[in-house]
Amino acid sequence: RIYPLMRVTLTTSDGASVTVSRQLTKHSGFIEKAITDMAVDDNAVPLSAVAVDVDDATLKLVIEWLTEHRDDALPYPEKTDEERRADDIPAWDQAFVQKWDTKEDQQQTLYAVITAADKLDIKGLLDMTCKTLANKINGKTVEEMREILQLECDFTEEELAEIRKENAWCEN
Amino acid sequence: MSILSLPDVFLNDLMRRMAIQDRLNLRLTCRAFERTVADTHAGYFEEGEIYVHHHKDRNGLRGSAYGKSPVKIRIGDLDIKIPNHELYDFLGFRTRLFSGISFGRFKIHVDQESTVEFVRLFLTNFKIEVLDFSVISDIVLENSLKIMAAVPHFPYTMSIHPLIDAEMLQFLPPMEVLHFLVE
Repeated sequence: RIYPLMRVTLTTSDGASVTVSRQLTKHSGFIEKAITDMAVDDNAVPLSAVAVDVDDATLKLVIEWLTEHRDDALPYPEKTDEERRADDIPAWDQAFVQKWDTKEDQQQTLYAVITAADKLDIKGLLDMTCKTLANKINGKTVEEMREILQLECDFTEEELAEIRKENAWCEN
Repeated sequence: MSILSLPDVFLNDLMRRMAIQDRLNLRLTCRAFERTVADTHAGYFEEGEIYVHHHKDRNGLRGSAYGKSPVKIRIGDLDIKIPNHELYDFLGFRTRLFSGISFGRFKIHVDQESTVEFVRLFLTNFKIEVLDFSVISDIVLENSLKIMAAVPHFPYTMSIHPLIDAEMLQFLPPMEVLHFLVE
């Protein structure tokens, strides 16, 4: 049973402590498991003690998302095999991610949130960030993909020619 | 942090949402992503098809509609045409484009016996809800039966043209739907 008024103190990898409502943490499979299964004193869940590398700045973004989604139904719907659409991101979530555009390195922020969502087992956030990244890549050229994903081309010209030759089967 | 250091569960989910054209472009970005493309599932497509209509059959129906590219494959809205002499090279390419793929309905029409083995190998690691055969000649029916025997784990449906030899029908395996076309 979840007590919505219960407060939970989370300790980040860089030593900060954040106290949040259990109403938010119930969306994190990791935190719920920690509270339920581990010997936790005073409802404190030291994330760093279980080697989860979530820093204070990233955790604040995660909590901001959790606050908006505190009333989302649980359990999160299981993905079906047919699931491939990425155009159904709620407006608030789109604005939440757009806000990162003003930061110096939005892609690094996105990767940090994705990693945190995975470690904390927040399925809704992981799903939303996956759709966000898919939308960034879909329909882009090779050069645009390298730029968005911050990838360096390490192929030789001969290797690129060989891959393009294979790809040509699908481009006739 | 690099995208390739993100959790496998995330990358697998991401790659399931990529169109085939995006997978083609991603494999050109760098060596690591070329491997990621090869090692991940391509996701679900409602429809796919293999269409081989090469020779005039004994019923005198028309010949190849694709000239020198007799094997046509459709994945979603992507059309692929493969010359006969490149079929087995294409199979190697297929393993570098995805590790698996799912279809709601996959249509098969093969009138060329030499292509049956290619179809069997091509469907390796496919998950198909319904394999749908369109039979307009005895040759196509013979090849369809061979393909069914080679991939017995898929549910089948079949549409049969009225000119088919009725005696052949006794060899049909159990299937979801058998549809007889009427002239």
